[in-house]
Amino acid sequence: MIRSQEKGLYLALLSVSTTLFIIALGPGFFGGSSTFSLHWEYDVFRILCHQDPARSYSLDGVTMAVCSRCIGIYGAFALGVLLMPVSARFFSIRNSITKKILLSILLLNFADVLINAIGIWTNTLHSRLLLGILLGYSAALLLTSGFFKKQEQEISYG
Amino acid sequence: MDDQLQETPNYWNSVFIGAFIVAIATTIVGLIMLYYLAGAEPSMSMMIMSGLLVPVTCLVGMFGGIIAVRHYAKTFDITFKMGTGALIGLFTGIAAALISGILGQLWNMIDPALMDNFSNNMISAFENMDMPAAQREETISRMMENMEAQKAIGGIIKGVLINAVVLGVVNAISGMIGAKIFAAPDEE
Repeated sequence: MIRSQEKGLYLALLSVSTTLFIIALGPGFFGGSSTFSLHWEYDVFRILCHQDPARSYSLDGVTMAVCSRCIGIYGAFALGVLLMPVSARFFSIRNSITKKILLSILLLNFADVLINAIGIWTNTLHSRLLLGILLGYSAALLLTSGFFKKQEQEISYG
Repeated sequence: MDDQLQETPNYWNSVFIGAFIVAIATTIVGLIMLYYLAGAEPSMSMMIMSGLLVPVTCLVGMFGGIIAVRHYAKTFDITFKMGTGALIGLFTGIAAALISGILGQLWNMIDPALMDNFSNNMISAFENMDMPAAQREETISRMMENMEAQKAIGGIIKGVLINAVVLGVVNAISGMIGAKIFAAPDEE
């Protein structure tokens, strides 16, 4: 049985993370033209992402408002928040484990950036997306136990 | 009642520490990028930057909530709920946007030519782009309008407000993550 807590905060988080993901998809999602940097979606993420077109995916021929790593983070986080009740039902998620998972994936992302900069490894749109997805989902997984808890079912006899 | 109020230590010191770190980091990275773009050859290649600088700009703005919550939890050696972490992160993001806006304006006074050089270079880059002449003219015209609008007081306030909302929201999320990492009770 799943016990939910902090329902208001969960619904706020779900709304905010979904909205961020939709805006991050860029003008293409809203039928905008391909003119780079003149849309409000780019303004929203300007302080958070480099928005380099060469390192970003396009939607409907229009560059997204964030890079491939960031779209992975926002998308996977929103999906992870949406799936929190399901994740809590099927997995017994301990805070200490999810903390280690998140930290490991964060370090993996930094290592990817550093090794790519040095020139030992060349990351791609897809590899950055994958690392972003792992980071976003692990962040959502860490928060899951704060919102939903698995409870032992009461067993009745007779 | 008074005892209950005294149980929760003041978190504003932690909020401002997190906000200052984020504001200074985003301002420095933003200025480096502006100087790079303002000084580069006016071509499409100048928009395609490589190396360490580009990737590090991502996520810098998100860490304020985690920094502030960690500072708060460690300073007072307390545990608290994710909602408190979200609140601390929200205030941290808003404060970071305000501080970053002030720092940006101060730098405009120190080097007023920077934004003009940046604007001219961006326009030159679009003039060299392979696109229909009418579309190019429209794009350049809209870009010039945007840049003029951003220089006006209304444009500056609009920019700070957008950043306050965005940084507030993402740092509220990172504040919740920070609360789970640094302030969750052991049994959780």
